[in-house]
Amino acid sequence: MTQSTKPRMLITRILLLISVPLFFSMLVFAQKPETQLNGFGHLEFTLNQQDETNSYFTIGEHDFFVTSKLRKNVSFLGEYVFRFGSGSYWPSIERSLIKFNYKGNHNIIAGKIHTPINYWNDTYHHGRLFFPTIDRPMAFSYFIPLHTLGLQLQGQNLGKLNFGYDVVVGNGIQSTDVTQNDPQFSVTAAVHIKPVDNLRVGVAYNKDYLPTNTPGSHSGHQPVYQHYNGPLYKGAIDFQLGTFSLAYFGDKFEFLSESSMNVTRTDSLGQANNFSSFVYSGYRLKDQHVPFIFADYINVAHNDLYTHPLEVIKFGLGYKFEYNHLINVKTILEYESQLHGHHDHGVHNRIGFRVQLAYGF
Amino acid sequence: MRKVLAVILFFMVSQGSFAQFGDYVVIGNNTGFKTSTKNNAKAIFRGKYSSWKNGESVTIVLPSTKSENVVSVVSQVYGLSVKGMQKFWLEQVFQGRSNAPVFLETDEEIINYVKRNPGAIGIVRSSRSVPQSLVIQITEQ
Repeated sequence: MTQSTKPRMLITRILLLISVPLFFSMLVFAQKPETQLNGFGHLEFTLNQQDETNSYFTIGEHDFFVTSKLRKNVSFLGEYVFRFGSGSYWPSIERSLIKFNYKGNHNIIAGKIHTPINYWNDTYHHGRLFFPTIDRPMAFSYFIPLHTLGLQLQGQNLGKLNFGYDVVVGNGIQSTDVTQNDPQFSVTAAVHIKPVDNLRVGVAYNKDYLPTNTPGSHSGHQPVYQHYNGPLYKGAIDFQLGTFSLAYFGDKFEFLSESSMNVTRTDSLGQANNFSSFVYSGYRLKDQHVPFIFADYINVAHNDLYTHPLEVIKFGLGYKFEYNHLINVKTILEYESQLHGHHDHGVHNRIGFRVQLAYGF
Repeated sequence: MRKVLAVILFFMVSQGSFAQFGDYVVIGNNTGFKTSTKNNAKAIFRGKYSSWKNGESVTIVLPSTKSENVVSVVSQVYGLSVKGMQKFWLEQVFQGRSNAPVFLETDEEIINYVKRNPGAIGIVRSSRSVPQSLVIQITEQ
């Protein structure tokens, strides 16, 4: 690619990305429904002390979010993200769905969604403004399948316990946004209850099959084996994931626990049991100030051929200042210890200081 | 005299059994119900329902931040500050689990919007002239 074609491609991508929500906005303006366009973004500063000290500023994801009520029981939701990677800005469709409310609080959803596999993925999406900490739990960068493209049955706020369910059938980990490269769809089933205000408890299960272990665009926002540089297994993998989430975000006290158990099976190395746990707790002082702590742990077994062996533990102490509902600043001091299974290069310890400015517009 | 006392007693009892949100009255158009408990009304305004039992889609209509009512309505219905309510709805809509409410500046705009849109539910000052057909009585229990 020549230097002159790069800016042209970038402009084309930007125009394409802007045109999608604009198209829907125009479509619905013609019919006079209610349409909203919002945006979210973030900037960061990082200071790391590992083998050597480094510090840098980062422009984070910028997220264009559109919702529209197309007719009485039909609505549209789209989330389109720009992020920097591989020397250029890349647009992506993170969510794009049509929701049909067919009865009461029961919906049928078609499109690309964030897999309702745990509280975080079902709630915060790409809005750093809503994140209680700076980063997602680590498991999101490894074995949690973040997206699905397909059909979803959804119910919410049912009965006194505010019971909710989600059942999703769609393109799985080894597929892309335009094709399915394996013979089976992935299946996700999730249930939750909200017995009192601000509390949600849920469990979920995801099953998938990867015939050639080639993760596509629905595994995550980066390669699942980013920490691994050995030969990649190209045989079939049976993938199962169970999660448990407990979230309470009250007026003062905030708590979130995300636990995952992932089982992968291969003909060569058998069953690998992987797990992760993330815990966050914060306390709101004087409306705008939230000091918080968090701990995050992931352990991928030595015989896992999907994520590949990994063990990382991270602790953090942080503070969030909410200027208003559209701007907040989070600062954290974190310690991370990383061990890379049998391809390991020793234990890596890192101390980091980070600041994130998150905003909505 | 007995009739007058009976009428006074009836009014006292009925005033005691119905509880509005302070100086505010809940109004709705073709929601399929004419009375609601206070707790259920609060749940409605927090987005508990997507559509009513009669099939109409729920549209919540609230005073905007420019409205002189907004602080007291938000405090009584949500138990939050205005900023807290804005954050609550931004999160709800972003999650994709609720449609955004309609925010209007004056009681008259809210009444007119509810009148024109079946399934809409809003809250306005009880001193306003509201068609009786729109009023939803709120009970304590």
